[in-house]
Amino acid sequence: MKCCEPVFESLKGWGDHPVCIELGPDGSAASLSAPDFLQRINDVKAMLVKEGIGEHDIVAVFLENSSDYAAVFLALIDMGAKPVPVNLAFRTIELDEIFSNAEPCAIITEAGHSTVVQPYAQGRIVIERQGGKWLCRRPGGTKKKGVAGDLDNDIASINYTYRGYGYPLGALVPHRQYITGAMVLQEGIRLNRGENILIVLPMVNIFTLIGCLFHPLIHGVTMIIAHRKNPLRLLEYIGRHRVDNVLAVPELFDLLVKFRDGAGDVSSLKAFLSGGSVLPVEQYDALGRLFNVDLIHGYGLTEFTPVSRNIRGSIRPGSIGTVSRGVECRIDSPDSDGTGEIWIKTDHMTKAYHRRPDETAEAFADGWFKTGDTGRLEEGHLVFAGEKKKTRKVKGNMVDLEEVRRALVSVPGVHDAAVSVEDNTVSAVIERETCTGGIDDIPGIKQHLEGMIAAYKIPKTVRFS
Amino acid sequence: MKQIKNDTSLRESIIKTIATIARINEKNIDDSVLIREELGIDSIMSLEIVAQIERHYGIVVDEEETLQIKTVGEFIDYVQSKIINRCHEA
Repeated sequence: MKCCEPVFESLKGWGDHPVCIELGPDGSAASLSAPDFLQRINDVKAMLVKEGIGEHDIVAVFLENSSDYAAVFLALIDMGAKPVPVNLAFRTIELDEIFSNAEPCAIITEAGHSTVVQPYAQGRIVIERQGGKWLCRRPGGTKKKGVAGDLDNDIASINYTYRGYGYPLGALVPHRQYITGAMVLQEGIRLNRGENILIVLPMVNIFTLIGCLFHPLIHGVTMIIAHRKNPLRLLEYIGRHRVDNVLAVPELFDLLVKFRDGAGDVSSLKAFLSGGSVLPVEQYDALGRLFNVDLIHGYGLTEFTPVSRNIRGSIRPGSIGTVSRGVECRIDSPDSDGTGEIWIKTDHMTKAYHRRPDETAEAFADGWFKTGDTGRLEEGHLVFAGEKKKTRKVKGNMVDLEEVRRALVSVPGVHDAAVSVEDNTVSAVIERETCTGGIDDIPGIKQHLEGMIAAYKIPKTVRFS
Repeated sequence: MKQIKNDTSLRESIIKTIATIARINEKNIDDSVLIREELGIDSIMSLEIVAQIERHYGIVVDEEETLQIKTVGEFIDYVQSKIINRCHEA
């Protein structure tokens, strides 16, 4: 079954509440009904077919959160094409790897982002989104391959992630992951049909694709899409639109706590859904006290989400919840504390990385996926301990330390670099070339990195050794 | 909401806000300092700085507009222009 099918079924019996409310930067709110959303998906599908995209085509998607994003993602899946959701923050180092690995035949992008994707446009269909319209440019030169002929039909999309190799890996995400993920998430968060959820995180990550797209659409929950993350705006939205639930990373919830005093009415709130970073017990307490909500924290990876999530009514602060139904979990090589690498096994998870057999063999063995994260089980609840692999979560974003090092050593004048993360901050120590020349000041090095890697990966502190 | 007495107090107040949130000694911040490259201000810190200043001065900052701002001095000028506009609208 394609993962769009339960969504379409749900939309047929949706009810009167909107599928989506998009909040514009000017304070406007555009509401979309279920019939209109189904029509939007069909219109997008017709447009994609007309522009030459078909079954098995691999398509890179560079779109901001919007009902159009949801329509494009579902339309591509319904057509049997393979969407590759790409982080809008990515620059040349990440994009070079993604385009050479996935070889998409088409790019769907925000018009304002076209200068970033321009170097990859040659030979590809480029569809730009501008002012609610789609503008297509046909390829010049030889058309790129971009056909997923070597992928099984049970693969829904290719989602790039990291394991510390210094380059992204394309997880082959099956249709079952989206459907099962939404189902087991619902078993934890228990939202009611007709409720709404405020969406602030980019829908490019599996956590948001499942938590903010598939889960609400399958379970009759209205998506309220915010284009602003300023905590004062979010608090205004909560009051004005009677928001029931918010899905975000702990760092954003922390900002809501800081600006809660003096904010308007937040009495509509029922639950905060959290993931993507560690959520300390003290933050649980502060959030619960100030907002009077159920705070439901969970854990997952691109390869499978959610591995675990707290269950509403039996939340254990400081934990990442109980292991999701249908997922086997074991702690490999535990220390005296019981902490070891988290391994998982489920029929619904990613089984390979696109065209990366060696990395696939390292991560997947005997049906198990070695998450590269460490943790322990405490009375049935999983407790996250850290990352064994050379990646770190920094304010909800995954940073591959080796990729940052590679970016630094490509800067003229830099011989080598050591990259680390402490206190939610990326730092680097640089060893300079012995010969003269190159960029010799820290701001210059950071400016050079801006065109190479996502801004959130650029070290905050850089010093010479 | 506070009224600005003069440019110096505005400047000092904004620099103090940035220094506190970025955990940097305010003596190391002047108008020419690059916000992202030298102070390492990330997106979460930016949100907190902007929200703090919005609340303090009763202005609304456009997130898109602030993306073009490079230096502390440019940010101070931007906030000052917003305050002046607010006063004209009042």
